[in-house]
Amino acid sequence: MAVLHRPKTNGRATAALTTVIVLFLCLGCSGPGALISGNETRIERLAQLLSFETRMQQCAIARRSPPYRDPELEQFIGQILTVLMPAEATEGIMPRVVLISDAALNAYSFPDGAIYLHTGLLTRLENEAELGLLLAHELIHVTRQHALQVLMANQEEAAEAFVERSAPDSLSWFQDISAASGRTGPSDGVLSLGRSLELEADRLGLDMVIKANYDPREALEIFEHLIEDDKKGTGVERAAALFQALPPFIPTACRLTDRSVFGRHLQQLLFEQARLELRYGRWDEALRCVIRLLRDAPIHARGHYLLGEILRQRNQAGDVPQALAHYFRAIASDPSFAEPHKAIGLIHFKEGEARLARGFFERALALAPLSNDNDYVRSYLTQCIITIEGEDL
Amino acid sequence: MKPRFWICLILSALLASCAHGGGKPALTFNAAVPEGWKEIPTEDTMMFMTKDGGYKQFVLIRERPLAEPFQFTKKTMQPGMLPEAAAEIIVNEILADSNIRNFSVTENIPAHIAGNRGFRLAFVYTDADGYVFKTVYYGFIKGDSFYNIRYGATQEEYFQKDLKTFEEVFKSFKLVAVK
Repeated sequence: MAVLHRPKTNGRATAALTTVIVLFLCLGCSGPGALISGNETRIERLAQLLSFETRMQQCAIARRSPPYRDPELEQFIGQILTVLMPAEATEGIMPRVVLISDAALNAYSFPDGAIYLHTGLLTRLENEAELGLLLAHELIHVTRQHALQVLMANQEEAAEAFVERSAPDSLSWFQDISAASGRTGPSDGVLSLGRSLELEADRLGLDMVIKANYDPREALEIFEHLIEDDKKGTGVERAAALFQALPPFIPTACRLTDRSVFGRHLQQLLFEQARLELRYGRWDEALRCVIRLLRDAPIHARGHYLLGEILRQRNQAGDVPQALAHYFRAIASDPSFAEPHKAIGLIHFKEGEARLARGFFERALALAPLSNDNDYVRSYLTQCIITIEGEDL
Repeated sequence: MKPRFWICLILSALLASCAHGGGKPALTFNAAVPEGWKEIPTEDTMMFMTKDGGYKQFVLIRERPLAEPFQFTKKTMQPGMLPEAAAEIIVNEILADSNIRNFSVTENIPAHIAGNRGFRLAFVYTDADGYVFKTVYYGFIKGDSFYNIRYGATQEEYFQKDLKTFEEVFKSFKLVAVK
């Protein structure tokens, strides 16, 4: 049985403080450039603390958030990272992207170079340059050691935390940080530092994108594509600041990226994300993903089937006829695809059209004789046959 | 025995009692409590029975209004919904529960429950405390209600041992007219 040993209140409070700092850094940072040189031992200890917290946080994420695996997409993102990564990157940092299957529009980085990118955010991007800017922003957080900077800004509290954290081995502070700490969040100073580090990551990230020969204007389209969900409106300010920071002449080597290539890399993700959103009943998000998929791949059979499923399950006025149309388009794209046959059969079955339904169910069974849901299909078929025989009598 | 489970149960019972003005609504179903098992009193429209404690094995029979959205997906069931679609809502609801890990459906088939068309699910999951539960879940829609009959047990120790007992409970299940 997993019994968590809760540390003493004071230990929990200080542990919570450091966790707040790391969490805060994950969401966005701050502050002027170079680290204040001073007591090297203290810096080393802070770096150790950060490293420890990083591992803890990553373990916590791994426990609660499923990774999204798509080797082709991961390779594509890895190539962008390679293009972006400056030669003077800090030693010991291994930039890598971890895709998290999550609808939230979020990306964050850890001091060890791990960049966590939520699939919900990735599906909002329209071109490679936008992704480049997003990754460059996070790379700047990593290479400029922004996490350590914030920790340094909280040196006294952090040092105290470090001393007290050496004893307990609890994981519980991740579950009740606010309750344990009695703090409402980072101090004003840390918040201010956070904002300035964010701006630095934006500005230097844009430089990184230009050096990698992306067109910065194309990269900055990211703010347009995220504006709907930018409830605080900070994106407008950030975009304006970056447009102002653009060099008067864009280097001729900077080129627009091929959006169709980017779209192809995202197809599987869009499909999976639409399925995920459908599972959660988030119709609008599911529709957004699948409609974008079909925009890039108009004859994607599974995409049409999924669009039909979203409409059928949403079941608003006019949804079912539209769903039928997409099921038929799925069949037209891939006649051997069993699911849309079953789906059309179900619509007829529910409308009491047993003769129509029967043909589609039989076809579905013939196309996928080993499908997991065939017990259901057979039960529908039996009911259709009983109805038809009753009508014929 | 896990205290949190019982706390949740008691809390839900208390909340239900607030909502219903202190009295338990009349159940529209009945089932036999097996010998050696005990029914844990609740104020909700459900029967909860166990032999050794909820973290060993339990049978939970519950009626819920169709109009009540599910907690995580906010989806609702509708009258006349096919059993397969109802089963899909249940599966999605469990998948959306962040306290549940390693959820895996091992069976999803049509079933008859007290003469009603429904579904039978079998699945395995790990709860927030790391316990691995194996569950059999029957469900069907009748009128404006969704009925479910659930048997859960910690996989290794109790599932097979008490499965036959559950089947007896399942066979004894019937809908009753409320006076």
